[in-house]
Amino acid sequence: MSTAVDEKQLSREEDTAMVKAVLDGDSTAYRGLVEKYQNRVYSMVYGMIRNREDARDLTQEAFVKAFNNLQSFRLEASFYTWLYRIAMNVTIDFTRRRKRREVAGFEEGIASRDADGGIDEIHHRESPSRNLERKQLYARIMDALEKLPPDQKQVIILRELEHLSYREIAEVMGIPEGTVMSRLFYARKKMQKMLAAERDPR
Amino acid sequence: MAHPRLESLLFRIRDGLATVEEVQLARDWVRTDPRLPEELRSIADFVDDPEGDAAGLLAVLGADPLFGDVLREGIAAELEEASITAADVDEPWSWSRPLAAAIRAESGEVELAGPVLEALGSPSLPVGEAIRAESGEVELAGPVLEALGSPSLPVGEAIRAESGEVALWDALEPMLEGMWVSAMLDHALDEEAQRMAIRRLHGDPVARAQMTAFANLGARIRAAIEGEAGPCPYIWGAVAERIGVDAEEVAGWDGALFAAAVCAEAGTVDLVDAVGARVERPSMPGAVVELDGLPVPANRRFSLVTVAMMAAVALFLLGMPQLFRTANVGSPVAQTIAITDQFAAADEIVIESLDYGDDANVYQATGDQGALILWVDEGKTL
Repeated sequence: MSTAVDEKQLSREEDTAMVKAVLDGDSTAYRGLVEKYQNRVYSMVYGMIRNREDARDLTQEAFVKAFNNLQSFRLEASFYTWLYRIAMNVTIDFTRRRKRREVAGFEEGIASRDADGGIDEIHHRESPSRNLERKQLYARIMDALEKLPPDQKQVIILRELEHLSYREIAEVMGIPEGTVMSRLFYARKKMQKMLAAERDPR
Repeated sequence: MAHPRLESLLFRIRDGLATVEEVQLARDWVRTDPRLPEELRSIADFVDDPEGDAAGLLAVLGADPLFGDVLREGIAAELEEASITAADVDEPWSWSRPLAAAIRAESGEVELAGPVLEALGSPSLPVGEAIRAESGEVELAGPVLEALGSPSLPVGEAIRAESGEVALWDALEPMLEGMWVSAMLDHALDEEAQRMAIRRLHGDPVARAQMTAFANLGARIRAAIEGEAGPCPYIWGAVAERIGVDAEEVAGWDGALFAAAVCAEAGTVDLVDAVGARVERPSMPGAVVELDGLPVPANRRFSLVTVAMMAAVALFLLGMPQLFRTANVGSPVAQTIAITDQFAAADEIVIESLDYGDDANVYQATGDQGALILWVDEGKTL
């Protein structure tokens, strides 16, 4: 019976093999790494900046940067934590550069279409009222997430979205594990407070 | 002004050894010593209870821990107002005041700075006491927990030595607020802390509710991000372009090498028979039909006609004898047509393979030059 640890190990070995292939000159092997992690990186970046186009561009940027710096990647390390770190740095640089950016509203026309312009399947299936309710809930949570300080936002995204361990988050962000623990706690408390305040404004 | 010898006089009074002159001198010094709060200066007159007054003043001055930290804390603010610097006061104050100041300065929201941790880790400091004294005002949890998880760090050892297991938890809990709940949810506590946390969780419904709330929050955050982000767009194409790779290139695939390998493997074969046998397969009659009348030529779309022609010529070159044999057995003679379009010369075209879906209708007719022409339904893919 395979365990989560086994799967993680297998996944890691697979990553290492692909990285080795790229380093040995087969650049097309990089496609495997891109396709394996693109969803996760994209969602993570989106959580940070809340704009689809920017998230797509930054995801591409992160992968290109990772490719260009692959020589510096230590094979005994975890590729995805290394990649996430690059993606986070790319995103942080972007948010610093961005003076003021319109938050992508969750408008009907945008939200209901996927990247290729197709109708979102879930949206298509659900009743309009339920769909609206769902989108409002998402928007409230995302609004609260957006109000967190960047450091706390990073931590909570890496934990809740990517399920990284404290050690992995510490590695991605370059901070001690204890700091991960406290940042995550305060992020959760704040989110909880903001969402509760919104539900019960007094 | 401060009187450095006041303490020795007070010790003598407390111990009942002082002369009347010494008591009077102490009374005078107490009234003018800025290290003491003003109200104490007048109250401590050494008349009704000279030993008690002396002991109290010694404690206030930090020379004798008679009343301990409570008294010191009580007068700390007044000492502050009296503009006493850390250097002016006695040893028991000298470590705690700058430490407290440093911790307060760093208290912010999240983490303590390195210098404070260094101070905490100093073996000469009663760390546990300092942390307990400062609890509620600062957020030490992150570094402290980190230290707990690293037995080699002096901070963790110092805390353990100072507090013991139960006291440690009591000391940490106010600072940690619900942090242990958050960390426990993530399986991030070390073994010792996890054991204490589980015990605590059993008897604490509020903590259990908090843990549930945190777990639910995580699920909602995940759903919100993924819901708003939508499906991930196609990334590889752009990445491949930027890193100088053909996005459609398949790793390890080399057409020329593959062909050579196949030839080497196959040796000499009769391709005509092989292709003919394939054309005659049972599925073919359903897909290839003889025309009674000429359909509207599908070759209005140049690309389609080109493909059809390529297919036709290939079949002609490779399998014509077999095809004609098939077509002539029990079937009417195919209607001839006049070809008005200009096609590529047959000897310029090489077809490597021809495949089409089962739902495609393939029409065949013979031109007046003897060439076989195939039309395929528009919209179908060869």
